[in-house]
Amino acid sequence: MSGILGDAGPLSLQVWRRNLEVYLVTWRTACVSVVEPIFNFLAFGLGVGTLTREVAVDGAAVPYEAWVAPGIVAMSIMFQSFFDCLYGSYIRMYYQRTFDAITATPASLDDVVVGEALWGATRALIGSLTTLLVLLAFGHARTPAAAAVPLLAVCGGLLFGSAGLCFTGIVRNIDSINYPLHLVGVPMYLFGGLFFPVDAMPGWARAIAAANPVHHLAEALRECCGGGLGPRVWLTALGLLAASVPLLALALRLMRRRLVK
Amino acid sequence: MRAPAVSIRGLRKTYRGAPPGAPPAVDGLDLSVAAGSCFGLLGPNGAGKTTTIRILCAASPRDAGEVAVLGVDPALEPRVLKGRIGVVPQLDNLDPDFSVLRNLLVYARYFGIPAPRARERAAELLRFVRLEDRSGDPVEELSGGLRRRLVIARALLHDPELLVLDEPTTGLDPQSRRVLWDRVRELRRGGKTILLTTHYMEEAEALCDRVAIVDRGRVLVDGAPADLVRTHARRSVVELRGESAALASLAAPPDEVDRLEDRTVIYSDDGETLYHKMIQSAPGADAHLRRATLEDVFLRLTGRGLRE
Ligand SMILES: Nc1ncnc2c1ncn2[C@@H]1O[C@H](COP(=O)(O)OP(=O)(O)OP(=O)(O)O)[C@@H](O)[C@H]1O
Ligand SMILES: [Mg+2]
Repeated sequence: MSGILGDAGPLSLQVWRRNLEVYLVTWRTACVSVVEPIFNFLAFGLGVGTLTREVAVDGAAVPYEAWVAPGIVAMSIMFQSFFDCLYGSYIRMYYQRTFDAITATPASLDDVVVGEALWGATRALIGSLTTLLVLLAFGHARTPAAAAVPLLAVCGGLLFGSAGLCFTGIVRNIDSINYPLHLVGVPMYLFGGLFFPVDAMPGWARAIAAANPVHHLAEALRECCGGGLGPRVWLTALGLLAASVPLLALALRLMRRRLVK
Repeated sequence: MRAPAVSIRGLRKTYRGAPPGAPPAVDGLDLSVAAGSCFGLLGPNGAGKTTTIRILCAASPRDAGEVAVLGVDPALEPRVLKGRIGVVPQLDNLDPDFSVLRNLLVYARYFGIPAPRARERAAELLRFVRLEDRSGDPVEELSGGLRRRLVIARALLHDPELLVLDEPTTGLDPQSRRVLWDRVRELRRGGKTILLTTHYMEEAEALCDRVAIVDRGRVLVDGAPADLVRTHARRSVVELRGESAALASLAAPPDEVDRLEDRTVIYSDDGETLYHKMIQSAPGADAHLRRATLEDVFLRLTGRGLRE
């Protein structure tokens, strides 16, 4: 139990790989989470887009559909990782006793938790890529700069996945997962400026958005989907990554407290 | 003489979050398991068997006591130790999304077994537990007995020196149970040390070289099953029902008499003579002669009241 991530080591990659294999074996259910961003894009891009044709960004008018598209990528990144590390990890931990099975081998609980977070980041990556495909199909990401999306997805996924694992470490039962999901997760993306610009909102709401990582993720995604690869993109990736380290460390502590009896 | 595979002295453990004033789960337990033997941990529900096992498998921390498993302290070198022992937990934890074979292949990776070797080993073990025809089946479709056998195969992937089985046959039918006994015997013949818990006394008698009866976190007695029977329940037992209970007065020291609600149980070194004396003095008495078993020892030592 030394470093900030406890004694997690290379075996966390085997935990990650196990989850990947389950995902591939159960690809039919996995497909559902791929369809979701398509629906989101249709509802927000094409649906809401009929009400609001344009959004003013730095004085320039951008079509709403093009503006909201990266927001849907952000939503996908956040939700895939947060949800899997919350609901998915809870099922693996409690109902399937997968953590018990793995920790009976040379792998430690820290390996398991780090592996779960890496898997959360991977879910975010998969989510971002499928959403990106949808955007490409609708012509909203035709720029080489969109290649930065996967990077942002992994960094963001690690952060939201770690947050999910913190809650997994403390929720009382499967029903209580609704609290972090609906009281933390949903407001984070609803008020993160994904579907409407935060500039138009009152000062306090803007202040909250400024502290919301989903907001920063969305802004960075907008920049690279719009063709820019400025410092905002790299700083956001770095910031998300840096913030996920202490959060993951917290998740490790909470999980140890819950499971080491 | 080889060093014992497991040696525990003065083990103590109270669960965090246990209600205040609750007795410790393990309360000064001593145990020694000889290398190459099959050892049975017996005891009523809540006696502390699983807790003890979890501590020696490095799954749970202890409060006090010395523990050496294969010469390793589980608290100090958990990874090293876990690479040398195989664990069959009380509750199955197979991967429900994987096939039988994939459960083994994925698990082998946590032990660092290279893929080609894991395939060989998995095939070998599936034959060993008689699951070779089911290797592609989803685990969810397996019956309890087959699942148990798969968990055992999984625990053997890395060829552990010590195999720990927590209630391996609970919930299995008599056939599956015997298949499992047979496999355990073969492993023991192959030189592995086996530590198991069970609530079936005939299972302990059939499999174990030695057993320990644990109650309230402590070992009450330990020894070879036959010795324990001889010491604590004599050679034979006469059970008397109803009116015939009066016949218990025919018993003479060193016979021992337990008076229960519905019957009287007499433990005797020469139950046959006693039984015939009884039948003569009261023909038609409801008396019944049988061999003393480990179950008699268990009930005499741990009492007949419910535990949990
Ligand atoms: N996770 C836990 N938290 C708190 N108390 C526990 C926990 N696990 C077990 N206990 C308590 O510790 C005691 C010993 O339990 P343990 O599971 O070791 O018994 P056991 O001998 O394996 O019983 P069984 O035969 O029912 O499996 C019991 O009183 C039990 O209620
Ligand atoms: Mg138990």
